[in-house]
Amino acid sequence: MMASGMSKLKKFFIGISVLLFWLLVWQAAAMLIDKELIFVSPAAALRRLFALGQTMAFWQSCFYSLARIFIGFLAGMVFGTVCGILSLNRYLHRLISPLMTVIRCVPVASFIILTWYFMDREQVPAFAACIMVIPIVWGNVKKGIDEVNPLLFEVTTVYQFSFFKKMSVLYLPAVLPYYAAGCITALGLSWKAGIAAEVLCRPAKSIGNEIFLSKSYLETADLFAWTAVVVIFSVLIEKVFCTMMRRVGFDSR
Amino acid sequence: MIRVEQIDKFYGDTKVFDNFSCTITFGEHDMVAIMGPSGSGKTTLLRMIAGLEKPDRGQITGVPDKVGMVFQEPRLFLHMSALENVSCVSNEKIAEQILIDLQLGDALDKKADVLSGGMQQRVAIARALACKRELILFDEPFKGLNEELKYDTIQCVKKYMKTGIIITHDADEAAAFSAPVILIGDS
Repeated sequence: MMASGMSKLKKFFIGISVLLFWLLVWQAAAMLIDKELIFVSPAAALRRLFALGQTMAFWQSCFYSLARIFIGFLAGMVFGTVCGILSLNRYLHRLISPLMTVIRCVPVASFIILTWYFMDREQVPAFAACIMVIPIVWGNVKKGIDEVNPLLFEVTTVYQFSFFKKMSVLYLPAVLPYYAAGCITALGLSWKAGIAAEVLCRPAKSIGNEIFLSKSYLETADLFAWTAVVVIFSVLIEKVFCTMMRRVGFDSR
Repeated sequence: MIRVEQIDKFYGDTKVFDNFSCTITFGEHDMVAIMGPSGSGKTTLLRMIAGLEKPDRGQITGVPDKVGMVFQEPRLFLHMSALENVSCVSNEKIAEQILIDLQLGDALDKKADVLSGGMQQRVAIARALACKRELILFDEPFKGLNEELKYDTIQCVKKYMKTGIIITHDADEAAAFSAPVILIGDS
């Protein structure tokens, strides 16, 4: 218990030291460039972040961005899972597989611009997040299904397990670790894709729009502060999701 | 009565059965034993009776729609307890009773992956018995059990099984069931 407490403290100090090191590198770079207009120091960015944090507009932008991207992420999880289950059938797998390859290969910016013709600017970030998630979740569900022991599959055949029983005793235990890992990867990607879509489509009350405006008005401190917000949320979301997964007993693979 | 009629079975270029026929009649016996040298096709025959494989020619008739099977390996769901493994094919009361009869009362709630090989094999036997099928197929089910456990397990199988087919290399096992023997292969 004592040892574990010590190691936690040690980990914390190592983490802080690493963070300080990179802040120092950032500070050194800012001093070297010495032009606040194009490269602000960490202190200036932090000051701006605190100033922004005291406004209601800041929190509204954060909330709406999180909500849009989370809805897209959830939709992507559902579609990816359904496609993964459909891929149990080899003919459907052949049908779905090229679609997933296309989604993987097409740059997210192309999707954003294309869908902008058909969708409201408020909906595009959710769509971009969703499209990032689908192939990852599909691929990981498929990987888990491929891990199913064929000898156990014969057991379910002999004892004529129903579809749902097969799912619960055979497929779910094999798929869940891959599913959890896929969701964590997809979460980070969907967040980044969603913010990129916001920068391009500029929906009102969004982090992406704020980043675009900062760039347009050459408010570099704002740009750094909003980018820091994206990074902080990305880390926080991943931590929360990992903790949730561990709580419900999913060990990601 | 199960009729195996003029079956051929190939694995690649290897012919396991060539125009093989036999009749498995239970009559006054509950169990019929299939014996023969290694590689003679005993397991293949049992798998074809179970519907896990199809003959390349010929047919097998008279097999009940639902059968139980004990494989050579336990094939348990390792993330589930012994009781869950058995009750997933029957109701929990029957599953518990059979496990207790097989001296696994202390292992009911233990995850299958922490059980010894012999215990896992008995859980697999319990699963086949608990499903209350007309016919149970046993593929060397007592491999790895010591003599005392084997005797007790055989008594339990006799108690719960309706009819069965057992593959064995041990004539004593066939004798313990008073099972008529079908010899296949060269012997």
